[in-house]
Amino acid sequence: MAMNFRYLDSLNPSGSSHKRPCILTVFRNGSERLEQYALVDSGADMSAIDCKLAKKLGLDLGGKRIQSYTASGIIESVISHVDVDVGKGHEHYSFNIPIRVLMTADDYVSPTLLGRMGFFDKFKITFDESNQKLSMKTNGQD
Amino acid sequence: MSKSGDAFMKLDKTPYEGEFVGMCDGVIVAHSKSFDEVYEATKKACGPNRIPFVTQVLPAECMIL
Repeated sequence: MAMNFRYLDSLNPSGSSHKRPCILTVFRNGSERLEQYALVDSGADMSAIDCKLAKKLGLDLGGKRIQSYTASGIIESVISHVDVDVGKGHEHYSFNIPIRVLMTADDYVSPTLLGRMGFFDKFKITFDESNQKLSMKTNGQD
Repeated sequence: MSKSGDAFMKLDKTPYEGEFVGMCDGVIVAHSKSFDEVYEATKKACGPNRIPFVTQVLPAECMIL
């Protein structure tokens, strides 16, 4: 069964603001939890989270610093792992996914992305841009 | 969908443009440009049994590339 999500309005649900394919996601690490809308990004090799959020979740940031190439330039990052819960209606899925923690400047928080590695490979994902809907159907992998 | 996720979806976010919004059970408990402030206030309001919801309201002109 497919889970269908409406794109999220950036500002006013009844206005003409940008709508984006964001889905409600719970990020978990032990007892630390954070729920937010994350952008489903087919252009991202891996999921990504800002270091300020990662620190609140207590993610392991001790890995090797590597460079990530983003649309806004090269940024230092660390690969970590986090548990994510996504779902709609009676369908819910939990995974532990690799995630790049972006070491951004103090005055900036990057949007959280759900990227291909470890997430897209769990689902068949369809973007219906004209109707501004996202459909996700599990492919049976845990 | 959680109460907060549903409430945020329906919310007119214009007054919170450029800020983080923190919710507990669908009610806004904090908003500010500081993620740290909003997260801590929301976590405190939610207590140990509820999951803090904190999401950024991107400015209208913002494009994610």
